[in-house]
Amino acid sequence: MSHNMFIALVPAFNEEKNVGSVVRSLLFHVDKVVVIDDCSNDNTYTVAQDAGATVIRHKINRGQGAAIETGHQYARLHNATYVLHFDADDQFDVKDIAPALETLQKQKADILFGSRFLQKKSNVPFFKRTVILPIARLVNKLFVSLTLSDAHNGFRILHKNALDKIVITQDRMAHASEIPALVVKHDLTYVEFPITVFYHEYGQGLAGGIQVVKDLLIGTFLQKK
Amino acid sequence: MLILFQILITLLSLLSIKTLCKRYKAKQLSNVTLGGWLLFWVLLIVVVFIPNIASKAAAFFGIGRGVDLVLYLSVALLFFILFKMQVKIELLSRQITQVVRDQAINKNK
Repeated sequence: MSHNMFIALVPAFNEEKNVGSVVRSLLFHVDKVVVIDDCSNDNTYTVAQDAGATVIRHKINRGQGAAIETGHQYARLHNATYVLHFDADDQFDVKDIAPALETLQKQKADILFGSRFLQKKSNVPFFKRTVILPIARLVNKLFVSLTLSDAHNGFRILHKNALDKIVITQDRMAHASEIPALVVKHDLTYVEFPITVFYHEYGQGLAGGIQVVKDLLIGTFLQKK
Repeated sequence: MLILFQILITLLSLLSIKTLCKRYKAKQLSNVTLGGWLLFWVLLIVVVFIPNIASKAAAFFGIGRGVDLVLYLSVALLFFILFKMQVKIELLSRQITQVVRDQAINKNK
């Protein structure tokens, strides 16, 4: 049986503090670590390279979605069987990778989405469970048609089937909504998997959310190309 | 004063129509875009010389003054142009991304 090449894709922008340790710990779990340096102003490029990663550098900052798609293109060229999306800011736990990959393989799914909320399902407050979540699911169904417990989680594993079909066109943060939409569009099978997230800093604020909606809206007018 | 205004607007409109025709001949405009812009500039000339038309149209739409109708339509048109520009900018941005991506990957082949 041929070896299944497993590549970790790490989009990074000004992550010189964390990217080195992330790359070193990832190398124990995957065959190759590819850091996509999105035109950082600091030493992300050399730090990642010294840690043992293959580094692809964008000459102009293009956003996280663009960086991940650059990684996808690289992985397709190198015939990867599985790719892992992993953040460079050290907020994910590499210990989740092996069981997640095992789950994906066992369930023969095309893509695995990491989730912060999966194990806390029973703790969801009554109001949220009966009012807010059903509304959120409805909105999600209208725009994405796929209900994920944690749609904007950056931990994902894609099998080759998904890698070939998921071509990200959203350059900034809206790629996190575009990926589940593409899963539905191409009829891919998916699985959610509970993962640990360590928070170091506040994520996207309200302005980020508005930008995502704007990008998705404008994106819909570009799809007919 | 009004005559000067009428002459200026007419000149501007005619100049714009000339540019439109030039771009259409160079195949830079679609039939629909040409039609839309021609209608706009011709209407502008008509309204400048027969201002009552705007008032009549405004009354038809239930708007008080002709000037108000022109103003509302102008704002709507500006928003539409802004939106079209946003879409165009996003398209250009994606094309830039593709160029940056290809260059980055070629370096690592």
